[in-house]
Amino acid sequence: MGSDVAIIGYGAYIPMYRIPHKEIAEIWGRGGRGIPPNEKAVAGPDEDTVTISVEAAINALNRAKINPQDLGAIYVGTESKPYAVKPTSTIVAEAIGATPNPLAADFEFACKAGTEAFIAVLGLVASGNIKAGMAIGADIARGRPSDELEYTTGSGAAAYILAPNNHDAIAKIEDRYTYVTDTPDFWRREGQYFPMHTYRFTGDPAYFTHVENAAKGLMQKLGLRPSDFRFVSFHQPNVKFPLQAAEDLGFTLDQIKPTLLNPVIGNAYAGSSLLGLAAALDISKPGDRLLIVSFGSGAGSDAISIIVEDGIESKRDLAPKVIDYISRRVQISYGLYVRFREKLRE
Amino acid sequence: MNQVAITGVGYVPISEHWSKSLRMLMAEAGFLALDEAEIDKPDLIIVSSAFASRLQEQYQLGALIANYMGLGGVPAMSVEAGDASGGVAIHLGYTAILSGIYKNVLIIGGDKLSDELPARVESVMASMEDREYITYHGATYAGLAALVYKEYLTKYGVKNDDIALLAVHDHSMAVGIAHAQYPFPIKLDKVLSSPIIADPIRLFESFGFGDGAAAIVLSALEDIKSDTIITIESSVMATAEQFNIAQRDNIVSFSSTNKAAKQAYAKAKITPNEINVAEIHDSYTILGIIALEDLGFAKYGEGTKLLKEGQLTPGGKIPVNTFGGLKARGHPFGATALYQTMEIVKQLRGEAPHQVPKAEYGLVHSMAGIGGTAVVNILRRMK
Repeated sequence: MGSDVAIIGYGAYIPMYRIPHKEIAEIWGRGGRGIPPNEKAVAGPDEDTVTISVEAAINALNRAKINPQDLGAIYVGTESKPYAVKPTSTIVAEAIGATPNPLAADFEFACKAGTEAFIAVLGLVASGNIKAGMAIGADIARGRPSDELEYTTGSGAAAYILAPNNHDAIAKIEDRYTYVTDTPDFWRREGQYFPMHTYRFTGDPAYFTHVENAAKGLMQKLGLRPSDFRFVSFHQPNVKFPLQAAEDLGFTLDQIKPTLLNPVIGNAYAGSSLLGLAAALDISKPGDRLLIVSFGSGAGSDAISIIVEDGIESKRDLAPKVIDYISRRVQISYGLYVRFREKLRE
Repeated sequence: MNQVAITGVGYVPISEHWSKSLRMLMAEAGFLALDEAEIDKPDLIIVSSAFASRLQEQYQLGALIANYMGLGGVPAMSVEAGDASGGVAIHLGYTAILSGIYKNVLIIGGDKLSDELPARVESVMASMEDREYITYHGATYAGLAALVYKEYLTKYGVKNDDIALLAVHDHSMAVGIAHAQYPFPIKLDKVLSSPIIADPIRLFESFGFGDGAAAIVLSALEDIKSDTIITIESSVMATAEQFNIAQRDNIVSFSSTNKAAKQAYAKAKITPNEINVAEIHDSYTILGIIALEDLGFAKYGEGTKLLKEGQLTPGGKIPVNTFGGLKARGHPFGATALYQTMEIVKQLRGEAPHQVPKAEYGLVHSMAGIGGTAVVNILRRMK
């Protein structure tokens, strides 16, 4: 694939509320030793996937410095749509002033929906069909009370604006590689509010197989090694999995550390690996090569290689960085968390 | 009288075999055992599985495995006796040969716990105890073992740390064992800081869920020409005097194990002191400590002494679980006794990574649940 498509704007958003694992563990009688000092971001009572997507989209527009009317596509990848039927993307498009002409659709591929949307926009831009397009990965993740998922289901959004590679691009897209199979590791059926997962089956046959094969496939295709990348952003369902994948593939702790947001915000599902990439862009220099590897249950991974361009220097301060959102922190109790996330359900 | 020899063993590594079904694992182990015994077609197949009827929802497992292995037509049956399924299957194979009706019996044990979610496996495991009177009330396997553990601590004034040490022993023995589920050492503080699963049992004092299959071939001794002959000197099965744990006078000794052991020693005409190596059932550390006592290796209340003195390692007074035991080698229920037996065979052949010098007598202890069923088999190297 050519290198004529670039990221011209990116934006992150993370809600300000935090609940520590310890607080959740105490409620469910799992206190004591062995609880890591991690926490997760919780969306407020007036936030949903649309509002956090809009926040990220505005940040991306502020960096891209383009007219929203120039966006030929707005795709949102999420598994927490406020409406089961009615697009999230049209509400976002309306809110940022991009209507009435863009393509608008929601993508569903569990936590891979964000990079799926990213690659769809990439294709439209590469073909010359649109001048610019926006892909958003956003989720307010749901975990059943007391379930293992409850510790990590976080909230967050990341938006990317892609356009032909011009003089003030932030980063050019080098290539991508995808690995997909039918692997039922995690799902939510029609009518169910909380997802099901299959415990240890979500590890080796699901996360590691797909993430590692996608990463290896892309590196093989490009003739690259882990040492050719400055940073790598993996999907982060927990802290252990991305660290293990990094080790298995031969990446160092320094390469993954800046993108590892799970300990402070949890798993932002479709936003997870894209937020990691945003955190990497926040501190990258022109010429740095970055790798992003998503993972969506069901299951699949997209690996995308990106080379940072000169535009990063002038654009990165035009919107809040990931670290700014992480620092904006208000700790809440389990009780408030239950109210904010509507855990008391009939 | 005929004698019964073990002429072949086969097994797969204990792991989470996501890409293989129970029948594939069992057939693989079965073929390996037949190859080693140099037998194409056994005249009886006994399969043992604790949970196939519920986790895989498969009955007639014997006929299914026979057919899957291309041995359709061969008599085959399936045995279920909880954790002791494999022990009972071996006992049945032994009696089948002694009866004179069968000459070569293939016994395959297998269970695949990863086919179901952990909560369901936990519920199925609880079915080993009395559903109407015990598990109806919500008691789990670990929960009942925890009651035994607490009673043991109170009765003998032993420390939790001393019992947990058995997990450390098992892990040290699993190092270098290719088929072990957890072939790495762990330290006592790691065991003691692991989460509590049923007070006072900690996670690392418990077996982990895993998938496995192991097989042995039993043959009538008159037909064997190999250099080293491993015989089953005695095989004894017993059930608990009182199945329902709530109605037992003593819950820190299991009458099934004790009875089977006494008879097994008598039939083999030896004493516990003459056993060179043993595989004991320690799904939870406490059950292993009690096994040491019920098998006559230690006085009641003194099982942990052997452990602390290092007498359970090769070179010690009674080396046990030299391939990692249920904690570290793994515990795929219906397959466990077959793994244990295969490991004793390797010790007696002199093929063990942690070899006990000049081992002649080996003991296999197989037990179900909180002692409902127990089998003690004594193996011997003849030449």
